[in-house]
Amino acid sequence: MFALSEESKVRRLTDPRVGGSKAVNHEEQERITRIIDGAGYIPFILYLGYTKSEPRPSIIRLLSPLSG
Amino acid sequence: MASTTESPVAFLTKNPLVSGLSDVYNSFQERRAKLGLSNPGNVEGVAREVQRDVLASGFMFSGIRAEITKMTSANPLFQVSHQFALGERMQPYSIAAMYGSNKMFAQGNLDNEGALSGRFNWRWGNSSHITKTQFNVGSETGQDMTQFEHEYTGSDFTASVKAVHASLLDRGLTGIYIGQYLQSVTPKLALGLEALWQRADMSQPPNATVSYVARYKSADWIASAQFQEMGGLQMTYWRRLSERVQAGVDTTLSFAASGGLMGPPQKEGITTFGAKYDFRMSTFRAQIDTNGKMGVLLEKRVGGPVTMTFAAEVDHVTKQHKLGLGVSLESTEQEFQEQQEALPAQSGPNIPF
Repeated sequence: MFALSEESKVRRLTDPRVGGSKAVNHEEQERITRIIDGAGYIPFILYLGYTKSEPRPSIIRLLSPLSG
Repeated sequence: MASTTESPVAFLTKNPLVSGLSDVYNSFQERRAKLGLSNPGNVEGVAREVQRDVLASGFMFSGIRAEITKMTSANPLFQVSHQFALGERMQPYSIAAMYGSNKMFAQGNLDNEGALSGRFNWRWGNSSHITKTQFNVGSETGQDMTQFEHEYTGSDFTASVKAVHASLLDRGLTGIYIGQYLQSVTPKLALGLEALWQRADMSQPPNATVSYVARYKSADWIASAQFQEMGGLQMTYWRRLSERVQAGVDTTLSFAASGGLMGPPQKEGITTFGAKYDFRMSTFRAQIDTNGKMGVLLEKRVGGPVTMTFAAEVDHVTKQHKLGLGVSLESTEQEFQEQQEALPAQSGPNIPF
């Protein structure tokens, strides 16, 4: 048990993903992919619903929370 | 003449051994069909009446919440909702969209921090095969989750396989893999099992557990039990007391060796009692558990499309309490409303939820 946990600690220290300037780059990349994912799925559903509903809803009424 | 129409591999299906086996199989299927068993639902839903309907815990929230839902179409189902909130564990703004047809179901929820949670289900052809995908993309690292599930709904059973956090990137297979099977044995009794295999990291050994479930459904009451090999037992009991009143009890016992491996097994148990009243314009849920936590939830249709929700929870042991107030407004398009009124008997699509 102890030997294993020590080993994993060493692996963590030598892992290039943890610490260093590369990590920032990696995180930045991940952040961008996240935004793309998040920004893509909701519009995909909206597009599907908009094109398949009968009758077609008006876009402004669909997206604005204030319109009735 | 016959040899020209027969395919070259016909000997595989037309030998005495195979035809004998298929006779046995067909007669077994015929007898099974004669029993007239109904589908028991899936393993996760064995206690659905208690856990998802009667008990208020699933609906609890604290703080203030306002929700505006716009439903523009019922077939296919399409709705968009905006939620504004003030309170713990709730983001100030989130948008949700849902689309459902006979073939697919897509749902997404995006909050102002950029955290996305979504579900995408697909029905293969017109069959009972449904593939379900669920994912969370958090605004911070470590919140991400993906889950793939394939479910087959038979006439008297449901089988599914599921993979959570599945990955091959760590030079080996990691993640959580679950297989579930629930079969109706008699018209009232269903038995099933769930096998789970997980490996969090390649540095850790994998572990596997099996749990057994049973569900007994009578005319006005339902009992279910789930026993985990690792040391856990959950039992629920649901009963319809009158046309508008339902009651449920949920008991969870665990005697797992949590904490140190050397220590004695920890025994813990909690029982929750709950009741649900359906009135004409409102729903009231109340629950109390053996840890001294009490909760009430009142949903009231104030008039037209406006629904108010009031939630309160008091923990008598830790002296903590939570209060929640919600307003939800449902609006439908004018033309869609007229369409609905013109077709009152229109049935919705069979959405693969």
